[in-house]
Amino acid sequence: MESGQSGSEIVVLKDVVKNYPLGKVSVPALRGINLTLHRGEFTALVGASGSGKSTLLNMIGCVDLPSEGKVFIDGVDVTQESDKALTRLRLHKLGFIFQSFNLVNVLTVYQNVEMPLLLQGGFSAKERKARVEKLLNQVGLSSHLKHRPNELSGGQRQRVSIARALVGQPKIVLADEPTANLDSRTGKEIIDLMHDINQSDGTTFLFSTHDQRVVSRVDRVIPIEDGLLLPEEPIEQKSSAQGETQGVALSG
Amino acid sequence: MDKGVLQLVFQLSIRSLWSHRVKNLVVGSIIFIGVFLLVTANAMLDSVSRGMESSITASITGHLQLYDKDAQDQLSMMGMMGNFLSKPHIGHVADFQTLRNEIEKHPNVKALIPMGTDTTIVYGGNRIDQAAAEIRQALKQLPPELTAQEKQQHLHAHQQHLQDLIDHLHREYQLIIKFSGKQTKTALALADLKQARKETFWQKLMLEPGPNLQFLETHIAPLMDDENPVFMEVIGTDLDRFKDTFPRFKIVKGGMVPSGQRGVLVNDTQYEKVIKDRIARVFDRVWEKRNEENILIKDDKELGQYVERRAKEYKQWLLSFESEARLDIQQALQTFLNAPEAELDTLIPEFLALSDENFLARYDFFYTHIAPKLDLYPIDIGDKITLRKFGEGESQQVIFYGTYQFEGVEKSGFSALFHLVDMTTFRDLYGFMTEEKQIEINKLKKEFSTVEWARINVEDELFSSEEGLIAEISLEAEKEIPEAEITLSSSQNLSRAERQARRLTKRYSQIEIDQGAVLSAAVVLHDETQIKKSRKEIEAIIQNKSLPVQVIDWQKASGYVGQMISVMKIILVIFIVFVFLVSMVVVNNAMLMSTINRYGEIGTLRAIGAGRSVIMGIFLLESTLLTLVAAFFGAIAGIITVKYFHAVGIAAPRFEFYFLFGGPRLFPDIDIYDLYLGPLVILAVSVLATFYPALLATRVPPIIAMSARE
Ligand SMILES: Nc1ncnc2c1ncn2[C@@H]1O[C@H](COP(=O)(O)OP(=O)(O)OP(=O)(O)O)[C@@H](O)[C@H]1O
Ligand SMILES: [Mg+2]
Repeated sequence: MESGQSGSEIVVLKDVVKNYPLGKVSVPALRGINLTLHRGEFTALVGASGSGKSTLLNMIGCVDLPSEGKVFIDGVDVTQESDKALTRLRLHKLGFIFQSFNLVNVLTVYQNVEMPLLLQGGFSAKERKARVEKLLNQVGLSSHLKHRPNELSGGQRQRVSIARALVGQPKIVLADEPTANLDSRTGKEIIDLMHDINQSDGTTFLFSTHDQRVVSRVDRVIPIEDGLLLPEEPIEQKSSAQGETQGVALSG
Repeated sequence: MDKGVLQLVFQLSIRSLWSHRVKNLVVGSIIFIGVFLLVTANAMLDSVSRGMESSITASITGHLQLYDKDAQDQLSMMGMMGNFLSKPHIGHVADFQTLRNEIEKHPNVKALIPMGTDTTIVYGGNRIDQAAAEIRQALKQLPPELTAQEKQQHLHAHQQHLQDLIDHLHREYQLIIKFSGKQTKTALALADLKQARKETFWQKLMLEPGPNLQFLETHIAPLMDDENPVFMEVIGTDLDRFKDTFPRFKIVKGGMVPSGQRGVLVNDTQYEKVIKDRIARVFDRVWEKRNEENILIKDDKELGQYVERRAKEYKQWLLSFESEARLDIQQALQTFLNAPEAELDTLIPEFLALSDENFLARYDFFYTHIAPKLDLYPIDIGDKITLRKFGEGESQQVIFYGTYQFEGVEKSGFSALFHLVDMTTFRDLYGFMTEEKQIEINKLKKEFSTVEWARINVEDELFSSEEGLIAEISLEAEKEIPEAEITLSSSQNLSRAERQARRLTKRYSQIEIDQGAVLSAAVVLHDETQIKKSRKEIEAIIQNKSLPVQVIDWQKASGYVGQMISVMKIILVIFIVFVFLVSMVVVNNAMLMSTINRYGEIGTLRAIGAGRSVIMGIFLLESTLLTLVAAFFGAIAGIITVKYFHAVGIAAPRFEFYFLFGGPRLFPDIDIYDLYLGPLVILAVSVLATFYPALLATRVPPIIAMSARE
């Protein structure tokens, strides 16, 4: 378990290459990625469709392994770990927000959010209740505990998803196009919510998007194109207007 | 697994069971039906085999049977399936006494009962034999000092009856001579008949009944046809100990064979259904169907045909009524059928045309007016009957003391199979040389001339033999029947007939009964649940004392009855396998579908940190819960069904089923043990059938979550 990074680095990618086999040829999705994410960062991964955003997030999310290179999460080289260890790592250090929410429809809102705590184990019922209710309160769903996911709107579902991603107190929350299935207004609200949480408790966020407007909210934008990272442009001001211009400029 | 994880697994299983309730209801119903059928079938079969087991062990075979260790074949008391007449070669055990002494030392052995089965033929009474027996009995009542003439006056009716029979035979034999010429056999018969027709013969008979009645029995009686022979499967046994040991044994008519004596007990069911007058049985059968099974003649085609067929045999009745009875019956029938002029031979067929409407009145009429004048049973309680070993001609006279049955299983086929005969007679019949027999043979050899000896022992050979002595006898010999031959045995020695009569009522001691050969011996245990253990211990005793026997359990010993139970068990196993396969396919399919439908959900769970064991747990728990609930209700339904039939009984659809049902109705009962099998089988099936789909589910990669659409 090689780290080599200082304490503030939560994700480090070294020369990550990912090829997808497609029949006899292999499709390169990531072609040598070097990236470092720091604690507390609120980062957007921006790129055109097919640029490799999802692939990169899957590497960081430990649901897929790179063809070459190394991925360190909290100092641990995940390319060397067993399925069991990766599962534990996802459970304890990562939180996921999915494009299509991925709530368990047979469970209530409350039960969905409680799931990671049950899987982690070691929490009393009281503790679980306190945590779940606090988070659902934070995402504005304290009156929907007993609802089923399919009784909620898309925005509400994504809020539940956020609460579920956060309840286990992960080191980093990953979100692959969390707003793609939402209208722009609601999408904005979701990004704002994530940002608020980042601001209030310092949770690290990395999400992908091809929506330029959200860029105004973030600390850092990582542009990606054809499986390669483009040089980052520093963000001077978090003004909405600027963000939008920048976004337009970036979009290809 | 952590408590929290367990909670999640439960939550997810129950939730998804509920949310797919329609599909699960279908799967559950199939499991329900499977368990229901298994529980019910198992309980029924268990009831049948338990019933049969206790019927057999408590009535015939005991719990274990011991037989010759060097036997060629396996002991099979009831024959092999479908083949009663081919007897297995089971050897014999020469010394029962020692065997009994050793085996009865075992604390769980209630008794060791000697046994042997054999097929015999009983010739219904011979009229001359019967008449001779009657006159012998009557003569004993008269004061001995009376003259021949006085005795003849007293016994006029008896003498007349016998003389009528002899005249009848004489006429017949004269006809035979006329048509088939002078054959030695016929000539000899005519000579004997002529002798018996002499007035002097009757005078001598009155004064010296022994030798002269014996002449009638040995020379004249064989000329008369016996009534239809009846095949009788007999068990030879120690009757007293049999009665005390087998709890189902019960005397129905007449009485028990006096302790230690020779005698035969006829199976009551056979007495009623096989031996009884053929036409009288029609009335019984229709009555029984009507009252016990609620079936009328018009409801049952077979019964209707049976009634018609038997009615055609009415001529038998005409022959068996004596002349006085004929008139009485004719008069009664004329009034009853309102046909004042009709003759008996038109009245009887009309009377026998039974229908549901006239049956009750006719049944009543039959038993009040006709039956008393009819020889309802060709052998009556108290009769002397002759058992002849099937195929070999060895025969023994015994008194028929009464009928018996095995209580509770009276009507089931197997318990109606056997008649019981005392061990001594059985040994004689079977051809074991007993001490008593040896002595008698020696005596006879001394008493009789060679001619007589040959006649007594090998009557059949006598006539077909080429031996000079017999061939020389011509028609002229009629005049010269040596007086000596008849008077020879009137010496101080007892006649053969009288000795036989003595033997009939001789009381044999327990030692005499125990000493000697048996074919097998039934071990009856106190505690039948210990059968396996006791068997081992008995085998050890046999080993230690080197007793010349081997042990077989009742199931094997009973032959095809045991096979029947095995066949039913095999059918149950096939049935279980079938249910097993069906449930397997159904559960497997359902779970595979479930895996495919829940691909996304599983991926999500894996992505957010659920391990493979969690996924496996969810699937296994789901099918286990579903199975348990369905099996529970299936078992409950099975219990209710069996209990219902326990209360009302299941009617045997045909007489043949009595054998399986232990009577006309089966009253199945359920045992805790019956309840294990069905649910356990299904549970095993479910877990097995779920395992593969569950394994597939654990292989769903977490990356699926990323692209999953709701
Ligand atoms: N499972 C796969 N098998 C083969 N090729 C794949 C697979 N997943 C992605 N790719 C290819 O890899 C490249 C990167 O895809 P990726 O999904 O990472 O792009 P993206 O930036 O997320 O696009 P989008 O905005 O449409 O989601 C694409 O060319 C895509 O066709
Ligand atoms: Mg993508």
